[in-house]
Amino acid sequence: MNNLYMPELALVEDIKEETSNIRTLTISLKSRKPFSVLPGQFVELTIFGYGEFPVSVSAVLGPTRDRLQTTIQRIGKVTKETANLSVGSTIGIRGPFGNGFPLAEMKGKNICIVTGGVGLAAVRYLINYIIENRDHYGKLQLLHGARTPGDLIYKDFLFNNEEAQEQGIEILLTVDQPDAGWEGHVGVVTELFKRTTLDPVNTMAVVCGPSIMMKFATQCLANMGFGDDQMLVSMERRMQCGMGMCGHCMVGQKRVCLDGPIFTYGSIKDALERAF
Amino acid sequence: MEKVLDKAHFSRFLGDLVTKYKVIGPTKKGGATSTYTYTTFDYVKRVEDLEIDYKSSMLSPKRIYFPDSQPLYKYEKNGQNVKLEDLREVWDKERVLFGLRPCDITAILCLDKVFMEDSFVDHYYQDKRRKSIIIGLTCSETRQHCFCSSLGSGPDIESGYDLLMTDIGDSYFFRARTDLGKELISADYFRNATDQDRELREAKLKKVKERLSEKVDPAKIISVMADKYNDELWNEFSDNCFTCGACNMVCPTCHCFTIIDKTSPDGSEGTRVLVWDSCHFERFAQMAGNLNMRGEKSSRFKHRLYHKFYYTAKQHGSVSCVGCGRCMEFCPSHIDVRAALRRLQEG
Ligand SMILES: Cc1cc2nc3c(=O)[nH]c(=O)nc-3n(C[C@H](O)[C@H](O)[C@H](O)COP(=O)(O)OP(=O)(O)OC[C@H]3O[C@@H](n4cnc5c(N)ncnc54)[C@H](O)[C@@H]3O)c2cc1C
Ligand code: SF4
Ligand code: SF4
Ligand code: FES
Repeated sequence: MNNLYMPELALVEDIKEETSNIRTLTISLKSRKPFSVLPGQFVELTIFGYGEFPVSVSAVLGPTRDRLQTTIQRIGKVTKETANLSVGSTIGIRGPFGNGFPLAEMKGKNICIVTGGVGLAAVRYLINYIIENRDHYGKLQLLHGARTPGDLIYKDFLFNNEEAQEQGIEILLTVDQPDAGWEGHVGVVTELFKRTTLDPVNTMAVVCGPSIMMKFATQCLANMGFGDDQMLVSMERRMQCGMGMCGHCMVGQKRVCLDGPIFTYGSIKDALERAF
Repeated sequence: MEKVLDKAHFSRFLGDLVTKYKVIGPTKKGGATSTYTYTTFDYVKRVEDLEIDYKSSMLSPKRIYFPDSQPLYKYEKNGQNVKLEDLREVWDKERVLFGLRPCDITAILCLDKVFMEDSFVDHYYQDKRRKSIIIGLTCSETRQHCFCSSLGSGPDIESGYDLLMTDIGDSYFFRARTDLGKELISADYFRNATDQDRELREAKLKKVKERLSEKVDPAKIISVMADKYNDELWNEFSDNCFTCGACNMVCPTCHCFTIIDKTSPDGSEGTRVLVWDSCHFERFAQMAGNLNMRGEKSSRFKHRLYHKFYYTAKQHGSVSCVGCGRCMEFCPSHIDVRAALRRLQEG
């Protein structure tokens, strides 16, 4: 019988230090089986001896799609232990879980992605996907904010202007607190809306970040004329099972692990409980 | 099919069940308070093991399928070599679940929706369910907090069992709902039910139903709940709640759980265990970074009732409270959920 709670054994193939407390792990299954994951889905990672936590899939790599990347912020009991992982470490993985982005509905539209902090990790795979299928989408914008320049993840991607131009993606960055070398914008991410042109017509917005940021970003977008169903939010809740059984991830009647983590703003707004 | 068994032959019936199956039933092992003896569901071999006229079981039979602490798997770490061993229980053969009350049978149907009829199927749960034969037993008495009749989960129910027994005095009336149920009552010590037996059964259940006076109207409650989410009544009703979680533990339909790791001191081996959790606990919806989506006690209190009456109605089309009354009977603060529900339906 298939024990849904037993993870598959996986190998840490590579580690990239993103910031002082965020790492990107490249993982493959010991069985070498390919990963079948959609942008927006997540997995449950096990650090044996410490526990399990949900994390977004940030990329699926390789010609046989047998490597997967996750970007992990060390914030609590189990994620802290990822600091002790090294290349060759064995971890466990379950999933993928969740619905993923509604790619069919997004097709043919302009996509404006608004993220904060490690929230960028949850849409990184979507960005890759759009770049790979560039002709199927209109304008692509990324508005991203972090606390300080040192907290920015994926710096190679964010600061490579040439590549961004080639890939047809407009990237705007901001930080709350600049450092000596920072020449970019200072302020909250919603201020970036004023620094670009954004037309709600035929555009889908994607929002992921800290709760408070999602609240303000969706408000701003609504004020700019975005309808409830033109805004996609990637939600976070405490999770245990990832399979709709443990009850931890409920937002009203919605279960973030099954019905989400990607919701239209309209569908999550209607839940009785506060979303953000 | 309907048959009748003289009580004098009951031990033969049980004996036949025990030779073919493992039988779980209400036993005398439960604890006692000044008011009640609380029976516990456990394996039985002889009639003497059974507490057939039990009034209340503090913990419902849900533990048979969904144990309060369930080892999932074991891991052993040797350098970077990790070995996993499945620890989940698989039943060797079929079990008879004997003497389950109608409310508790209906509660199992609620759990089925969560563990085997949604997007993911818990095959271990499903396997146990498929290997179980349910023989229900209708109630002869009611308890102070019962309100099953308001929710359609008692005193008589139409489905969820192979056999449903009713005590009609000197004998038991059996109603079969499945082929297996029919087979179980085909022995020659059963006789066919007569109209008189049927009348006795009806009269018995009618008497029970009359004592279940509490009128809670789920359709009405579902229709008003959305508008009452921010009502003052939730603060009032949760004010005396200790957030102890007893109500969740005794509830036959509560299915929330958490997953913990029991690890050896050096971390080289350990067991991952699924344990019951309570939505009343403060950390239930607490996320990393100290963000608690239900930090207020009242928000957790109402979450339990919204889950039972509103969210499951939206998800699965019916409420997931069966009116067994346990959450009120065992609440140390004597909070009466029915009173909150009546306040809702009265506007
Ligand atoms: C769908 C989804 C995608 C996510 N993607 C990412 C990502 O790409 N990168 C990243 O750094 N973080 C991500 N997170 C957040 C990450 O799961 C939490 O930071 C992590 O669970 C904290 O675990 P901990 O044991 O270190 O914290 P502790 O606070 O010690 O938590 C203990 C337990 O509570 C649970 N828990 C606590 N906080 C959360 C939470 N926020 N979400 C879910 N379960 C929680 C975990 O199961 C954990 O075992 C995501 C969360 C969700 C729900
Ligand atoms: S909520 Fe209370 S009355 Fe309803 S099924 Fe659970 S324990 Fe029984
Ligand atoms: S049993 Fe009573 S006091 Fe305890 S959590 Fe439930 S409602 Fe609150
Ligand atoms: S994580 Fe268990 S129900 Fe969603």
